[in-house]
Amino acid sequence: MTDVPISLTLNGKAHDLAVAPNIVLADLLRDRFALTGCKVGCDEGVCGACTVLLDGVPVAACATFAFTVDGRSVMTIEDLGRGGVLNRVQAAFLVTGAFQCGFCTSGMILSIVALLAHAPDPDDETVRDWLGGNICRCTGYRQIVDAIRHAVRAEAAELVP
Amino acid sequence: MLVGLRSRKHITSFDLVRPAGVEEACRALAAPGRSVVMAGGLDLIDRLKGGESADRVVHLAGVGELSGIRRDGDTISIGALTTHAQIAHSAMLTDLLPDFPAIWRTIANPRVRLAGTLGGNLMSAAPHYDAWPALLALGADALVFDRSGAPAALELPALHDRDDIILGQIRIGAASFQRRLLADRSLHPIVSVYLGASIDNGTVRSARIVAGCAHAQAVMIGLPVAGAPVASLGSDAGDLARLVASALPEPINDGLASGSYRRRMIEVLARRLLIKLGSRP
Repeated sequence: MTDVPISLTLNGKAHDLAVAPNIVLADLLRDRFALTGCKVGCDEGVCGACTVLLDGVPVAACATFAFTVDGRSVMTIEDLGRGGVLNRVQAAFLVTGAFQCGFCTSGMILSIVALLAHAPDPDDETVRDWLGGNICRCTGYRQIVDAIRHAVRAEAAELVP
Repeated sequence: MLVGLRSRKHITSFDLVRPAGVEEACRALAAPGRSVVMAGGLDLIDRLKGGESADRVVHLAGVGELSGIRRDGDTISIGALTTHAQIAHSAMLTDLLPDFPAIWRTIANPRVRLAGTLGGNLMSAAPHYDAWPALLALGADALVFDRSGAPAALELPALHDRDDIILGQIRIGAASFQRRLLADRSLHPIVSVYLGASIDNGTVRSARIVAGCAHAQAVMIGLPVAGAPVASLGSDAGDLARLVASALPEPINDGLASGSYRRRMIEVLARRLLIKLGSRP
């Protein structure tokens, strides 16, 4: 097996490295870059805990080979709050208490960031559709949906002149 | 194989091939050792975690001719690498075959729809996946390439268990008559039922029911309704649905549901779809 050279932008920084073809993105992020906010839950690409953004699109890092991110941009939860300021979705999770154990939270938040980029004020059906890819065993989703609504309102408030 | 051994850490080593065209991909498939084809990768990675091994993974992402949705005369061609999201939001499909993208907007979740491909869904052939029943109901066929790179047309059922070909395109007729596709996935993954129909000026040309999730592979039952007014499907729905249920081979018995429950529910969902089509052709 020959290692594959890849170039990626990870959390805004360019990296050139070689990876074994059989390494998944979750292990690359966790083991080589110590980005442990990428949690591995089911290891089947189902639970969404390992969700990261690839060119702005949510992917399951446990079900993505690392070599496929060559030439692309990866964002993990570690890059979301910049300069000590939380992203509005992170802030909304705190305000609404949208987590308990927290294992699903980083993947959940990144999925919601992608959702709000796709639909700034999503209807209930769209919210259910997007949360269908992220499993939370603690909250029952009520507070997570509340967090989305809170983040939408926060965005609207910021846009008021 | 022990379930506990299933892990990403146990993916065995393999050589990676990234072909730029179909011919190069076919050559890689024909090379000595075991080659497997990768599209979006969701199912392949899952299989490799489960203990399947390969000498070579042929990653098709760079083969542009396997992507995109095109119309050529009376045929719509959907490249094997076309993602579910591209199907769901295709303006061409929404214009020519609106039921298909409408249903595709509801399968799985956005993360899967953005990464998963039609070809991957079809070739992995998991009983609960939607490509098989939907495409059978639409009367689709496939353009494939064998190891020599030669193209050939195949009926969909002939794709099962074929790891010696590369799926090129799925082809669906886009003739002047109306083509409808209805689905009831409310009991998915226990059963799903698809109804495909060709309709010409209010008259049914052909119609078929396809049951998914209930057998090792989706089962299609043709309906004896050619020449009937579409509106009559509602009044005949009970008889037609019973005919479908009785014609099915024995459904799967598993931890989700018994075979008899699945057969009964297929009848119920098929009747609902026929009533729906009859009332809103």
